[in-house]
Amino acid sequence: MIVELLAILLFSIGLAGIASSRHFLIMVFSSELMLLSAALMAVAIFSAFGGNILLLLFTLWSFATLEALAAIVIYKKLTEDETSFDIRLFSKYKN
Amino acid sequence: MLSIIIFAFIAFFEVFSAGLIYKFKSIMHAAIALSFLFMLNSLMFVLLNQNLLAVLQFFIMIGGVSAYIFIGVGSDKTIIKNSNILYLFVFSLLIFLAFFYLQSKMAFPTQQSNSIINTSLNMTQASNYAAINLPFYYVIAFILFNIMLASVILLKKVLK
Repeated sequence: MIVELLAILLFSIGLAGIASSRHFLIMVFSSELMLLSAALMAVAIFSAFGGNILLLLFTLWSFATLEALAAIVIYKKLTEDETSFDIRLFSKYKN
Repeated sequence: MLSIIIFAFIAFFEVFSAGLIYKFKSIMHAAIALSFLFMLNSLMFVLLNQNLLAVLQFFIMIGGVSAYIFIGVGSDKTIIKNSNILYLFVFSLLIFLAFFYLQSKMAFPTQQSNSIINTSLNMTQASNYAAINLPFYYVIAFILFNIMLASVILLKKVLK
């Protein structure tokens, strides 16, 4: 029960981090935090009730890895173009 | 008793490192706090008696994801604006309370009512998954490998 609460708390911090931050990479880190808390919640529930969780965890980790890689590529591109990382200004870079 | 103290210690530092991600002004320091959080989460898996999952999580998140993030942002000296800590605290408290309410209302499956779940509590026993799911793991590993290769190619194009 207490591990589930910790997972919920971490998920809440991640979700609140996306809401309260405007920096692109901090938002990506927040979503990594949410994926991590989802893995913790899944392990806590499955260790209590049994079952095979490895496939679900591999999916979560795949998403986390893909997200980090995509974020780094976009980050490098933005750094090269000397653009702001403020998410509100991204619509200006459309063209 | 000792395991409760260790759990409390790990849980405290996990939440503390999650807060540090938003507190640090350097993006590199935020990435270090995130990787510290990954490591503490692996320790939490060990406390839940899932040693193999802890090792896998450690390899993938620390060895893979954190390494990519460090390489990506390591050379950058940009100072980031802090997130609004007050908003972060209020939002996370509200979301936590909402999820806590939902979780208290949730009906979890039990061993008796759900016949799909395994009776074994060890989720990484070879006999449970090796024969059935191993091809899926190979496919996922292959996809991850392709993603890694594609990202390296993309990075080289971007950095050119």
